[in-house]
Amino acid sequence: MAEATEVASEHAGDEEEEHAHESRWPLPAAIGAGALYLGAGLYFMGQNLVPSVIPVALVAVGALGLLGGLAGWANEAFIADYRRSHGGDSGVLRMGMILFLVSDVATFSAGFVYYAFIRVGAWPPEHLPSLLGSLVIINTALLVASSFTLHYGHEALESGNRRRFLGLMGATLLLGVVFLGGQAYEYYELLVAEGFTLSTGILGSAFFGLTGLHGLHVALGVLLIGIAFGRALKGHYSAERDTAIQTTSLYWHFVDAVWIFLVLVLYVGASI
Amino acid sequence: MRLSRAVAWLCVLALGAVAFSSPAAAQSVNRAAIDDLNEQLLYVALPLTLFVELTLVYAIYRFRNNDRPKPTVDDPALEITWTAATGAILIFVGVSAFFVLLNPYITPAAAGPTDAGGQAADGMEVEVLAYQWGWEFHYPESNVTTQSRLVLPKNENVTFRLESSRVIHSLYIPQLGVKQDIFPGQTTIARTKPTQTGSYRLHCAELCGSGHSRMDGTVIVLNQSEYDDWVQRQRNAPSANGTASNGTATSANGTATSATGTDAARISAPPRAHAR
Amino acid sequence: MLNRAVVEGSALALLALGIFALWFSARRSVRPESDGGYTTSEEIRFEIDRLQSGVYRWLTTTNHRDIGILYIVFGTVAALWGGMDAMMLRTELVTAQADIWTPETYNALFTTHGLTMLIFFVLPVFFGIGNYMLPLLIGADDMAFPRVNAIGFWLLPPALLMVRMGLLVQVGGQILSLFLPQDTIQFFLTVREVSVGWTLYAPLSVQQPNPQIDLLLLGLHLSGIATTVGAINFIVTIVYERTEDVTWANLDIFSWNMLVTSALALFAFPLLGSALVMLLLDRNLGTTFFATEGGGPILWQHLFWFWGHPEVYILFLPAAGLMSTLLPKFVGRKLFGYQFIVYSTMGMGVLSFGVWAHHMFTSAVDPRLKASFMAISIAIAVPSAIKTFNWITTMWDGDIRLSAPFILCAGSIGTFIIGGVTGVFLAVIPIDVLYHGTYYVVGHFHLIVVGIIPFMMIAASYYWYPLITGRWYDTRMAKFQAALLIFGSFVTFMTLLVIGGLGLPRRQATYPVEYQFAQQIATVGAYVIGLSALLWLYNMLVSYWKGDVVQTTDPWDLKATNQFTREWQWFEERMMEKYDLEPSEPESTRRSYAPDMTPIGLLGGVGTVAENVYRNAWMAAAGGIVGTLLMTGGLGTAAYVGVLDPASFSEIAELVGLPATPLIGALLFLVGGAVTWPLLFLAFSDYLPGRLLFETGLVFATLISTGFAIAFYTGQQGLAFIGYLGFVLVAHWAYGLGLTVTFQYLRSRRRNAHEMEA
Ligand code: HEA
Ligand code: HEA
Ligand code: CUA
Ligand SMILES: [Cu+2]
Repeated sequence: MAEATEVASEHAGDEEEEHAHESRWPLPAAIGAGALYLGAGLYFMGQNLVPSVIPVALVAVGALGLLGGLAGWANEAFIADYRRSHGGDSGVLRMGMILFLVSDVATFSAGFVYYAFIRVGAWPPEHLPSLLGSLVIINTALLVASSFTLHYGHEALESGNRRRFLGLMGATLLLGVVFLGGQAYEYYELLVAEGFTLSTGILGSAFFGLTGLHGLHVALGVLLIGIAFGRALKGHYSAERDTAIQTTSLYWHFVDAVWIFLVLVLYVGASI
Repeated sequence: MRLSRAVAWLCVLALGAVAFSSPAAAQSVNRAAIDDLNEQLLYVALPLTLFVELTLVYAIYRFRNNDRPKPTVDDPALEITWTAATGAILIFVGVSAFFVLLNPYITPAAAGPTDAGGQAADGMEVEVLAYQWGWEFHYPESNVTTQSRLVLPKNENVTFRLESSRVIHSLYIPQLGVKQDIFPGQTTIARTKPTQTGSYRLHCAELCGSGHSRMDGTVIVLNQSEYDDWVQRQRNAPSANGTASNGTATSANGTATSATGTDAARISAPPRAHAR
Repeated sequence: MLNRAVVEGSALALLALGIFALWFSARRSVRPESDGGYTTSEEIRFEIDRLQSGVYRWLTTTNHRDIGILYIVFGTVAALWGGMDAMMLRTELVTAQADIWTPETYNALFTTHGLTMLIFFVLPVFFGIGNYMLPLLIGADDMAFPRVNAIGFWLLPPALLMVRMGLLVQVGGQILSLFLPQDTIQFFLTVREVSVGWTLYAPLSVQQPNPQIDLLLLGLHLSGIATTVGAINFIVTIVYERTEDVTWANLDIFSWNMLVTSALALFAFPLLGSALVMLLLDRNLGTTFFATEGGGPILWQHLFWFWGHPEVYILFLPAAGLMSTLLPKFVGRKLFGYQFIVYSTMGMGVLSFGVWAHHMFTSAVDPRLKASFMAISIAIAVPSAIKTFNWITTMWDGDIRLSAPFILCAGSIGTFIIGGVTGVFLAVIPIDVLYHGTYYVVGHFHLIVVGIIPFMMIAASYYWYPLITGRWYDTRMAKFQAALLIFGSFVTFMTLLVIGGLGLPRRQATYPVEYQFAQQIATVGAYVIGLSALLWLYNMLVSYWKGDVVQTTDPWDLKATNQFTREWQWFEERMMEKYDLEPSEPESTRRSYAPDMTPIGLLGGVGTVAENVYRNAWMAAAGGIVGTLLMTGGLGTAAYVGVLDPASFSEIAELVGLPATPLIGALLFLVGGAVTWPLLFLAFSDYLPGRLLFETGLVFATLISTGFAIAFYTGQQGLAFIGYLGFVLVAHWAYGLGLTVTFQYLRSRRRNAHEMEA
């Protein structure tokens, strides 16, 4: 075994070299996601098979793991070394976000295709609640306004007007939260007052499916803006270092555009 | 130069292989149309495939441990040539396919409008109900119903109106060249015209649960007079609507044996309540 | 009936055990510290420490090469699991009845086999190879998002576990039922492997009560997220992380393929994700996405195949990229038509989104729509053909080294051609009506999903083995394994193609007895494939510890042909740093690419052929007439003694669309004999073997006589058959002699005429 020592040293050498590339966070995030999904799956299986504590616990632990892992990762990747680094990779991150949004178009399109299918079929359905009301108009106005506040906030940052930037970011956050509130109120009205639910006829699936998916996106957007706002308050960001603001804006404008399309197609479209 | 030499070689070989499949007499007009097309395409595809495969083999044989290899030289003309050649062949494929597609047996819709509930243009009609797991054939003209056994007259246009009770099935009669998926809550149409008497297999060609593999049956094509006899007997039989129709169909035609050949119990699936 | 869970569970456990035993025994025999001597507690502690740091390292790594290895190991596990399913499928099909497992179990086997292979085997392995190699190939330090990369990978194991939970739970149930009463372990007894086909067609998948379907849907969704994340990472890496001298014009072909694959995945997988969630809601919350009154079952099919068809190209393109990367190395010639291959890759990417409905030709889709899908499905053969021809031309005039990776490359091209051409037949609607849902389809796609995808992965594993491990695999065993794999695949999947052509439906545990023999052949072939997969595994594992150490920085002698690509340059640097190896110098170098030279290509060839034909047309006609007259004598006699059926001539007429009478047929035959064949002969006579014109004529006549014999065969038997063959041959020889003698004569006259003039 003449080569034995050679092998040992070779494989050992690898290990030293790799220490530079490690992160503790991916694994918990992934396991958290797995537990979350498993919990959801077991929940759907029903109580006579699995005692309901198990799914609930799994979902809770999973959500915790996922969020913790993601937070840890985001902190490590973007925030921890904020002071030291000088943010040269904004192109990479922006492109990552754009690609994510492209994939998101596909995510939404399945639901819209379903809606197209039922529209060319037996329309109108039995249950057709009045979707178009003042609430939708207000909500739409709020969301559109938030796109503007975010945009001008970003401009303010670029022209070095920090207070204006902070104010507009706060306004955006607020508008997002109010939008979510409005959405919740609308759901409440439909579910309780009108008895229109996810499983009410063919429109229920489309309506709750699409608005629900969009609502999740808004919620995530609010979270992102919240984080950005928090960091801004701590003094992060400047005219040259605005990657997070750029990517968050991209995302937010996208969510806004989807909403407008959704209102036109679903709210207005279902009524005519 | 060597390339064209091999090309030449292989052309000769390929031309020799052009004539390959001997046409077997088809059992229905559908099958005949499909077979003709298949043969026509094989005449092109077989030599072509053989040619490419043999070029590959030859290249390996010829250039293994080659002493005088040559560097790669780009040749856009060559690229364009083979792209165009492939394109031309494929246009031929597409055009011949398109004409067969217009055949009203392959595309029932091409036979003219058959609105739901309306009568087909001509010939007889069979209402097919596919259920988990079996087949029920209803002959509206003579009000006969059979299980797992489809009896058809020779040289007569048949239109199948296909319905399913719960999941997707697919009516598949290989020898007659018939295949059509059957959706719950929707009526699909298939057409054929058998041209030879005999007994053929019928399968379900869409996975429909654990009984999918035993969801098969028999198709029996009879002469018109034999067929009329059969219908008459079905009408007179006391249990024309029940399982006994298996037995009567067998007695109508000596050649009609159980097509599955494995166990007769397979085709004794319980009949469903009529969906109509 | 055997218990599926127990059989598969123990077989997999056995396999895992075997792998570990092999690994540790191979390692033991080369590591001095662990054989002989006394084990002190210190040593044990040292070993444990080492193990701990090793585990920690693999769990936290964000290095692209480590993650690449993790992906590859994961993909291999999935391949073995899905392969085990396949072996069990084939075992069930040994007999016509369902007497080893129940039909329901059989349905579960092909469902999990398909899903495991397509989703957890292929893309993970390609992502692994991509992770390891792509940054090296484009000169990047790492992937663009190393941590996201790690998250993407770590999502896969939970996803696989959820998808395959049925088996695990069943095995668990078997064990638990030994100790616990039935009603306390209801969960373990209810959950079974999903059995609705990998296509998960609604409403079957909605109606089946098996709760495992819910877990499966969620598992697939999770894997879809992982794939999308990975795809984004690849695209950004290729766009942003190239070093300066890697431009779009010289980006290596594997990276191009990964780029297009990722772009497809980016759009296809999220759509699948939504569709899966919709199915889940339909199953559990009473939505109507795929219910008859809502979107209908057909909506599921549209959404599924809108993902499903691009998915097969997502799987195919990286394999094609590996082919374009590996083949030139073993041929010693640069890839022919780089630019055209890149365009064809992009073309396939675009077209692949426009063909999905070709999986639905027998369902209720509007015929006009179907026709347009047929057109695009046929058109997609063009880019594939471009690739194939370029590969073959790359080999032309090269210097082929028959090593294991090359054998696999050649086998891949061979199977892909057949798999692809059968795909074109399926794209033709009338033919698909016959073949849809039969083993023909199974044969078609296995010739590709087995015949090029694992082939190329294994080829790549051999090619880069020295780079990754610093050791050589056992090259003799590898060649044997490659040959075995190709042989087994041909036997198995060509057989399936044939029985499908005869009309046998797929996805059925039972089948008519007359197919039994063919099914048994296919099963034997499949076992051969299985054996070769195990051989590969053995080779990989044992060579890691015992293979010959690589002593050069250029193990494949790539410098000699100027193909020492970036990943090997990286390897060279590493070897120099670590072992103080000198950079190896090739004995001689030669050009593998000559952009400045003018091609002598086919067009030139065609030109001379055409010229030949033109100049010699009258000569050909004269020879042809003489030859045909002679031949008619032979054939006439054959018809007279009754070994040749004159009626068979009518088919010639039918073929060109004229009335099918023997007379017209015979006339056409004469025309052909007097014009076409002599022209062909003249055009190609330079290339035929034989020295004299005379000899080549006989060879030519013999060749075309085989075609005649097949075309005009009308079922003669025994003596009549021998007589038929004899007469056909003699008649053709007469023809050939007639041709060449006339040519000889005319030529000599022409020569004389020339001399007279001069
Ligand atoms: C990686 C996988 C892969 C690849 C690359 C392909 C490639 C192709 N496939 Fe295949 N296919 C599958 C995987 C794949 N397929 C799977 C998994 C299924 C079944 C799913 C299921 O139902 O479970 C399927 C099913 C399937 C169907 C549906 C059958 C049915 O269920 O009824 C059809 C129909 O059109 C089809 C067509 C094609 C075509 C036209 C190509 C073309 O891209 C092929 C092009 C290649 C060539 C043509 C060869 C090279 C070219 C030459 C040598 C030049 C000369 C040739 C000519 C001029 C013709 N495929
Ligand atoms: C990539 C996809 C893939 C692969 C590789 C295979 C491989 C095999 N398949 Fe499968 N098969 C499918 C995809 C695949 N299959 C699909 C989608 C279906 C349809 C399911 C459905 O109808 O729902 C199907 C269905 C199917 C059937 C039809 C069942 C039926 O309809 O009744 C059969 C029957 O013989 C079969 C057999 C086999 C066999 C014997 C192999 C053997 O080749 C298996 C041997 C194992 C290997 C070839 C793996 C070797 C690789 C490695 C060991 C790893 C190498 C890794 C690195 C280099 C890192 N398969
Ligand atoms: Cu009915 Cu399969
Ligand atoms: Cu396809």
